Amino acid sequence: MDTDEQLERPVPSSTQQEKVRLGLIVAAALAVLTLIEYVIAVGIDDPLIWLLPFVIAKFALILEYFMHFSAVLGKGDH
Amino acid sequence: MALAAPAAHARAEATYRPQANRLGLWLFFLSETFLFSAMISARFVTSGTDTPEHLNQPLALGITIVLLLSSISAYLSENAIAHDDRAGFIRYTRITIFLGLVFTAGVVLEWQEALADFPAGTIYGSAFFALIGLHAFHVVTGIMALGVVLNLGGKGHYGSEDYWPVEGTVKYWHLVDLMWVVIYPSLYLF
Repeated sequence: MDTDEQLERPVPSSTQQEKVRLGLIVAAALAVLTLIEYVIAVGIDDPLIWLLPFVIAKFALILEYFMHFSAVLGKGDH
Repeated sequence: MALAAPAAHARAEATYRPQANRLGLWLFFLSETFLFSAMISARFVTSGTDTPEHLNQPLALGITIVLLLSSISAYLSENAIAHDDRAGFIRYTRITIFLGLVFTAGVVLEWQEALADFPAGTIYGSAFFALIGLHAFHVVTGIMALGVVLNLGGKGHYGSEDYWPVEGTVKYWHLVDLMWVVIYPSLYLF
């Protein structure tokens, strides 16, 4: 790798790598919850009550980890 | 003495402007939440928890996963510019836009099938097309906003000290995802 390329592609810092890892874990959790949601909906008649916890969990995950909602309340890093 | 006022103003701007921007954005999100909540409520009030049998479940699941994937690429895009990784920012923003376009194409396909099964004049059709249409409009405006920050970011704008436009746009994209998390089960699964 020559010098110019090194300038264009900075080495990710440990903080950046940690955030990337966290983001990927949250995304994996969202994907798993969505698939479980789908399986429940297909397999059960009138699944409203069973699906609500999954909807709330996905909503909370996105709100907290992707949108940094707690920072609005004076906590967190954003 | 004459220079003190502009300097103090600049300090105050640097201190409070980001907080004011974020507060304004979250108030906007709150108003958006009211709008989507009203539409989702209307869907349940008018047609209960019944869903038509002809809904294309695999397609809906597919576009849901595409939108979730776009949220992680948007997150990585913001994370990259926050650490001065411009190449990463451009790469992940392009991926987010692409996934947004795939989602939109999926919605168009879904509409074509849905129009045949439950026209917009039916009770469920009204709720379905209004909700999906409202959400798709937000996806399209999100793609446009991402295009603007991608263009400016490509020209050297933004960096670890100044990436508010990227943060705001990415948060808006997450809001679009957040709304879909509720709309998807409301229309397809309940």
